[in-house]
Amino acid sequence: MTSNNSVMNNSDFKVPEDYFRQKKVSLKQISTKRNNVFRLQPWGSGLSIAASICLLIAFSFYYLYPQQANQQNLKQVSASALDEFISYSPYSAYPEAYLLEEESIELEHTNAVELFNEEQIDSYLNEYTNEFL
Amino acid sequence: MVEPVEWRDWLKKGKHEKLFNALVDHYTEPLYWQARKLMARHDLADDVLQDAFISAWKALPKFKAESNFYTWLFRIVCNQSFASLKKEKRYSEINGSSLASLSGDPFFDGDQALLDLHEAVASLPLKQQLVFKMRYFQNLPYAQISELLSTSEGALKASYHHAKEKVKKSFELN
Repeated sequence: MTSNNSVMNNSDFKVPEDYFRQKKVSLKQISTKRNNVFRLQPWGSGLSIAASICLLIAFSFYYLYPQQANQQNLKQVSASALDEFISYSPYSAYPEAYLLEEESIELEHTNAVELFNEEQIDSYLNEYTNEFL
Repeated sequence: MVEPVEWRDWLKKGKHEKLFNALVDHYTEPLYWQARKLMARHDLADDVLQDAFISAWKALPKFKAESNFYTWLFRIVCNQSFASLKKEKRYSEINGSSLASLSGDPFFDGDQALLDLHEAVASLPLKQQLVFKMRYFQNLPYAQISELLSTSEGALKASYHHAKEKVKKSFELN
């Protein structure tokens, strides 16, 4: 076994028909394909800049728009509507509170139940418990 | 092998695509046969050649042209073959079967003795396998193998001797 007497020659090893011509064509495509990839690189940085700008705009809207909306709403509300809102009595929405208000009772110092007569309690219960039955 | 002078000019002027196409035209066939001698199977040699040219295309702008283009490409083919053999060796160790077996290659037309020789060489440790293939199948001088594998000539001679003995033994056993 000597190195000068090589047992390997190309006649024992075949290649498919027309292999080298086709291989050269496919290998040459490597350079064109790679060029396309290089051209995409500036797009990558451009896209990131565009994304950053979009984010900035979105954040600025998020912080600025609600304030503008509040200011506009206050301007649009009429003086009479404001008066009505301020003079609105919450007791009209809660009759039990209204009853207490009429008697001018300070609940901190008295037992509130004792101050109502039975009729008032019955009418209140009849009126408002029916809603839940 | 004398290379056209304009190739270096193209490299300096950044005409990489033109240079690459010229390299493909000139060296596809000789590099394929170098890969085939290392890998034995056509499909593996084809993969090595493809990967080698992709690596060459990526590295071309950085190539300083201190050696000629063929030597540079040949080194890339050797490195790719080494990586491929490493992968194949790992696969065969895990699965107990070899993907690189020459018997399954439809483009091998050699006799049984040559097939046995390749099987015996494939069972060698990776470095010995490469040294044996480069020395025995490719007839490369030790100086060139030393440059390609970054190993001293003395170590290569010892490695080749051990590889040869192992191949002989495997033939005697069979």
